[in-house]
Amino acid sequence: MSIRMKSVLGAVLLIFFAMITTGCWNRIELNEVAITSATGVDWDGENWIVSYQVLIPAAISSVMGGSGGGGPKSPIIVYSTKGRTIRDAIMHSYSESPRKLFFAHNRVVVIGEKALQRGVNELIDVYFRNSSTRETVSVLATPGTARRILEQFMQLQAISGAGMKEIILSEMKNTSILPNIPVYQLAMEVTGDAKSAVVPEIFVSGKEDTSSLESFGTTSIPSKLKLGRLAVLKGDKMIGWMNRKESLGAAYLRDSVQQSYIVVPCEDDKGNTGFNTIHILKSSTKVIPKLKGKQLAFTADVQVTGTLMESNCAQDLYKPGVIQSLEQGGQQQVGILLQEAWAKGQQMNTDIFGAAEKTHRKFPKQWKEWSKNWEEVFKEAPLETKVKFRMARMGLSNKSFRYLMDKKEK
Amino acid sequence: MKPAISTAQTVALIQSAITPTMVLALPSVMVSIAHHDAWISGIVAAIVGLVMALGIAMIGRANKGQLFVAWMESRFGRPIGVTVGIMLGIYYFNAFCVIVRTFANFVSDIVLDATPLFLLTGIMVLVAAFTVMQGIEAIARSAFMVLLLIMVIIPVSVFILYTDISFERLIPVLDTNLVRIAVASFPPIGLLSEVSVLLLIIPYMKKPASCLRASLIGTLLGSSQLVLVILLALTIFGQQLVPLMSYAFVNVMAIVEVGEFLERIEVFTVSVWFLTMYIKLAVFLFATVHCLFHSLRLHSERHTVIGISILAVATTSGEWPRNMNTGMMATLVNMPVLLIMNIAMPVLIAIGLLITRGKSKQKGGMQGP
Repeated sequence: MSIRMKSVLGAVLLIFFAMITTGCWNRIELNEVAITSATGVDWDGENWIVSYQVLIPAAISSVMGGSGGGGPKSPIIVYSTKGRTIRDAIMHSYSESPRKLFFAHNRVVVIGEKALQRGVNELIDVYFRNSSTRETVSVLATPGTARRILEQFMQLQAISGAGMKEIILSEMKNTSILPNIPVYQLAMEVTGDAKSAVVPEIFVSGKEDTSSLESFGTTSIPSKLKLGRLAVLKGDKMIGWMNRKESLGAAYLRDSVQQSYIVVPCEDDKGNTGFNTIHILKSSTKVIPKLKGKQLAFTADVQVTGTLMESNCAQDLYKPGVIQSLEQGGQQQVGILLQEAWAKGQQMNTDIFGAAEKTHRKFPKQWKEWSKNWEEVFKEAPLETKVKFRMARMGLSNKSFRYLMDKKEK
Repeated sequence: MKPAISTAQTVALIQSAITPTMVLALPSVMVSIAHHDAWISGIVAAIVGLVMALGIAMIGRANKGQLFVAWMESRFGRPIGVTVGIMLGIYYFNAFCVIVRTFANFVSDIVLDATPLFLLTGIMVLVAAFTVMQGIEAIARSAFMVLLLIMVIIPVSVFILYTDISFERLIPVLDTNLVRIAVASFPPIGLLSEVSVLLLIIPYMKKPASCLRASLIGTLLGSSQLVLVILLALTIFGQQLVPLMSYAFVNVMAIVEVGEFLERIEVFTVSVWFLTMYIKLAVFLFATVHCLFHSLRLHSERHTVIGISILAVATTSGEWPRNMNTGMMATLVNMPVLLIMNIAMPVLIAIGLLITRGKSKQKGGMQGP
């Protein structure tokens, strides 16, 4: 065989193999998959109920204002399957869906309260064992059923699964009250030294559901998906909730505050009271374990930088004393937040602040003993707060508007 | 035979022969033994690896340009030379099969779970056989290009992951029992001993005298990547979670999420790792063919490659019915074999070389390749 013939034959063979081995046995067409944007997990006492929010690509354009006859159609469909395990439930989806569920674009997993009380071990195992699911999916808790959350439409976002992820990211970035907890972080927290974790709450605010597109025919909708409290887990099971104030305190102690707001009471020269709103631009917390005699204690060293956003006290911001009082007010408020969160954690007997890890790092020898009954050690440990509050900016006005008004009256 | 491999290409070959299997499964095994001090085990293994690399290069320097089997025959006589060649050939064949199956298991776990195993192993062996047929020079050139890619992807990966890294997770240092730290260093020491493949490569080097440098730098690159993957896994996920992960380096890259425009970048890391794995396959198949071809005085190298490849496809598809068997084989069971063939045998060769030094001088040096 000539060299030329060999080359041609080789090329033909290469093209042939390239064609028959494309994606091999795992090839899947786009029109064969059901893309899930959110997953819900509930527990009915005996079985897992897994709900899926599946995209209907053709309908998305009609909701977004694109062309298409017959008016807007729902861009999502929600359905549930039941099984003894989570994967067993997902397998049952093949019996009722013409398409295979595709989880790569899943943005959130919502867990119902009962399922959270049963434990998240199985869910974490599913996420780490299967390559189709992603560990970066955000975890949310809900007091009712997860399915109800998945059924809600959202303003400004056609796909509520993606919208829920955006809300939690926005909340974390702008107020820091609730953290975004991806699956891998949840796994890290429940397996950490303290074996405790937190999950943000999402709930339906309003009496009626917004599960029909007709609700969007008016300027207000009957209900909204809203972030609320913080679910607290001990081991892998939920044991209670923290309110938003305690949650913000916990965020300071966990050093997860990016930006936030704080309302500080103020009083002018005449004794009139009001409030200053301070935008927290930067925050950094160090929780330092210390030994006082034989007792373990903690010091929270917090550095906060803020800017004044609103003031309704008559105050001249040029006066150094005013700035000082603002900073003192901020210090006091942050200190109160920290103490309330710490007390709540101790009351719930759960260390969600990472105190166990810090203690393990600082006192590795003693930790071997403390780790045997960490709950008791943590419960007895007092927290001392040292807050350094710096007002970096006062905004575009050097005096409050009320100060000018009061002066005019004189 | 015309020497054709540069020192830089030899470095690339050595690091490709060591790194891919080491960074794949070992981090989670090591963390499960040495907990958050596993990175210290990695450093211990690196030091031992450098000593081994030094020893192998010193032995290799005694070779004045002969092919390995011919060198063994000329120094120890034909029976011993042939026996050493066949033993190494069988060892490299066994190692090649374990690597192919480990690679196929990974591909199957990550993306192609429905594709039959024999097809995956078949394609991998086919690619390796094709590369080997192009000669060691082609493998070396490819290895160097892959090394350049690694040099790009590592700093980029660390930069992207920087915000997720928390060095506090490594504290307290030396919290784990020293025995556990030592035990955790054994699996990587076993794989670092694969630097002994240098003994087969030296005759093809343009500057055999620089084999010491190539050996040390190649080992250093390989062990640095292992320590880096362990450090990333530990500082991102912590010691409790890493043992849960079969392929920690994939999980590390999988968490990258920058807005909605940069995610699932583990695909790029895995793609580069795939390339290093193919180089490793080619190096080990080359070593198998080289040892058996010259020991058994075969006439056609091409047919030797084809025969060994068919046997390898059959072995890798049928030998281990469960993936876990290969995992155990690659990380723990194979260790004594690695240590015997890559450490004990070179030590015996070194002793033999010292004993026969006088004989070599009498002969007046070696003939050229």
